[in-house]
Amino acid sequence: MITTSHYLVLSAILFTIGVIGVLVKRNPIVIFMCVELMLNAANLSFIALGRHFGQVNGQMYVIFALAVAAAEVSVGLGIIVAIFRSKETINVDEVNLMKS
Amino acid sequence: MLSTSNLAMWIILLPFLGFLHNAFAGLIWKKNAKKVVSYVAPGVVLLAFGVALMVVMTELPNAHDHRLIGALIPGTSAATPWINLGGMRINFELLVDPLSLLMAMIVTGVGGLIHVYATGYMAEDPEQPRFFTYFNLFITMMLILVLGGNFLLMFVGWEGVGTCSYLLISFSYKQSENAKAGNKAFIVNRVGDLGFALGMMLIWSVFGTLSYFTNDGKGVLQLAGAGHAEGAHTALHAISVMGTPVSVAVLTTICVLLFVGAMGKSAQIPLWVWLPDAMAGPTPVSALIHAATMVTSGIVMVTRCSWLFSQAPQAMQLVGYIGLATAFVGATIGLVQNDIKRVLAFSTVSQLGYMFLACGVGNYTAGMFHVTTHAIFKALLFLGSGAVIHSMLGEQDMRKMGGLRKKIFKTWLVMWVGTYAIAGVPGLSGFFSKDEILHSALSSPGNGMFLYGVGLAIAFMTAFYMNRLMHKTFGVTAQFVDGELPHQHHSNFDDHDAHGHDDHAHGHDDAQGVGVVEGHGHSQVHESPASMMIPLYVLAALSVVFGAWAKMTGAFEKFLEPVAPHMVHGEAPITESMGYIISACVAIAGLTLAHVLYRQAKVMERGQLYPAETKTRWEKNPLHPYTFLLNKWWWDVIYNGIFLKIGGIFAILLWKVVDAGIINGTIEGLGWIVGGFSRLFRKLQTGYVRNYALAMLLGVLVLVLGVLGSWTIAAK
Repeated sequence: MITTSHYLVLSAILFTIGVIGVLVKRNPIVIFMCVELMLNAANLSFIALGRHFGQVNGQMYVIFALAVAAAEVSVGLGIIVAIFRSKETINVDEVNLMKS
Repeated sequence: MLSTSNLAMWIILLPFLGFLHNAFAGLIWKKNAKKVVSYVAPGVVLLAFGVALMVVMTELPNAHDHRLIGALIPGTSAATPWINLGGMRINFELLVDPLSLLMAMIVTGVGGLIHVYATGYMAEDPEQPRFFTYFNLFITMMLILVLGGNFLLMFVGWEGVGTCSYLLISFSYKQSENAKAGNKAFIVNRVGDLGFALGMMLIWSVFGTLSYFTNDGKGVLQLAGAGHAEGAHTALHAISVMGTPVSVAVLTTICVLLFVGAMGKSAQIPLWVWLPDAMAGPTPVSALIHAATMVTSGIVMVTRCSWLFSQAPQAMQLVGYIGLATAFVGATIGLVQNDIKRVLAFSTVSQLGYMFLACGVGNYTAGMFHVTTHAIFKALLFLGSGAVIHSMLGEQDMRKMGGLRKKIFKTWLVMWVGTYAIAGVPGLSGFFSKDEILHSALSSPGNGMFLYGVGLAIAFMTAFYMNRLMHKTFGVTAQFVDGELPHQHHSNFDDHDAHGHDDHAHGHDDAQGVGVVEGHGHSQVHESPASMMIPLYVLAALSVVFGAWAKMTGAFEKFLEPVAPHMVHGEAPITESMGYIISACVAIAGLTLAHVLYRQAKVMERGQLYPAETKTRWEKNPLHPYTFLLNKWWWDVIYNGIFLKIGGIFAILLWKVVDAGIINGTIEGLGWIVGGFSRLFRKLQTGYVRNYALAMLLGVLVLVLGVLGSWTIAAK
């Protein structure tokens, strides 16, 4: 029997993997993939909890999140392309403009 | 209830209007400004003299207790407040009594004559309107000083005359010595003013008011004089405020502090050093401010506060001894000076000492009598010396004069009158006033003989140095070549002035046609114009008759009686006529000694009695009497050492150690500590996105754990 707890644990594991990926990877493409992983972990817990409470809201939010994530990815990829054009690299360690 | 005076304000306002007019004369009259100013400036002062006379004639005799209160501003009353703050109320009030009217008449009368004289003396100066602006402002301030009805108004005048003195000493400010002399006068006076201000504050805290006289009888002088009114003229009595007696120690402190103010303004030891340097100003300034009026304000103030001083015998003693010491030091230095104006300056210092001696022994009337006669004959002497300097085209060194009697006979004549008046030749003003002081000094119990003896020595020296001045200036063979005198008039516009003066000199000789022209009319030494000579004649006439008139009729003492207590305690061992004979002998001996010494054949040639009067080896020995006196007892040198050198070291200590080290160090240290923390925390800002992400993660973890923890606790 697969209970809601199982879904939530899976969601937590996926989220953690995503976080670690964001923190340790240097390639922005991979970081993006990890961010997507975190988003989807959240989506998974939305759906699981929606099912648990017998409500449709959880699935509705997931649809929203997918749409926003798609838009965000396109913006993010655009930024990466722009950075590559100006700095000839996309290694995040070399893009430290936030350090004054 | 005190009577009110409606006229008194105009004594002050007329010169003030003159001041405003002169300040803007250039705007109003354009090129005619100088001409208009030369009529307006003396005019307003002489008008003010007329008003003062009218007050004496019409208002004073009808006043109850010889005292009137007036308002300063037209259309207001004497009760109009100037400052009204938390229980402190100070009015724009004037006190019109014999003392203030006497001073008002001296200031406007002698001052008016000096104004007239100055129109001639300053005629060629392009900055003449500026000069008369300051001059009229000075008269205004001096009148506020003497007529003001409370200590604060007196202080306003006190500071005002100090400012005008500063402005006028450094009138030709392009010569840096003049500017320095002005600074010196101003700064030394600050020391005295501090004393005055502190004394005033103490009066406020003790008496609760600064007014001399008030309608409810609680004025400072009313309280102080309360015992006197009951006829206890010589006995000490307790002054009490609201039933609480004021201790003698407090009164003595008040009097000493006020006297410190008087020391500064009236050039007494130890604050006298500025007066000789103040001679850097134009001669009318020396006559008006540094001889006749401003420097006597210390004596006026002490006399005004005589009810207070009378109750503080130790303060009186201090006043007397300081006066005597100053008179002595001034007279000794006067013996050897070579600058004609400096001799007169030291003579002024010395005579002011006499006046304080009179106040110190309790005879305030004698002090004011000497103020009056001194104002007349010292103004005469200064103006006469100004005429000499004017004739000599600005030369002030007596060693370069000589033989002027034939060339400027009229000037010689008036100077001669002035000399005899100050020396105390019987019958002239100085004789009577000086003798009265000496006689009261002799009456002083305990130290009478000492005061009298030193006083006589000073009188002897006075007669000596004045006759020396006359001989060196007018008597001996001329020490210059007429026709080759350099122009030395101080001015900010040297070239212009020299030309103007040249024209004037020749034009004038032609106009008057007096017998000063030698040879082919190239003589430069010339008698001064009528505008300068007429005031001299008036002053000379007054020097002759005023003293005798006042003494014989007793008018002066009677006039001043209501304001100044006669506090001489003892009896003099000799009669007054005996004193007259002794004084006369001393004066004549001094004059004769100078006459004999400076009439020697050799002296006739060079005008120098003492070898050191020409520069010789004597000058090298600092303790040789001649060098010692010539350098003013090394007073300036000692002050330089104490206040400039040691004070400078102290200032550097404050600057380098306290300011730069401690204060600046603390502030910069605080900044450095804050900066250190910043440097530490700056390392957190790496610029790597993942570091920020980690921080966010940690933050979220903390929040989540916190929420979970609180739930757990709540569940229990």
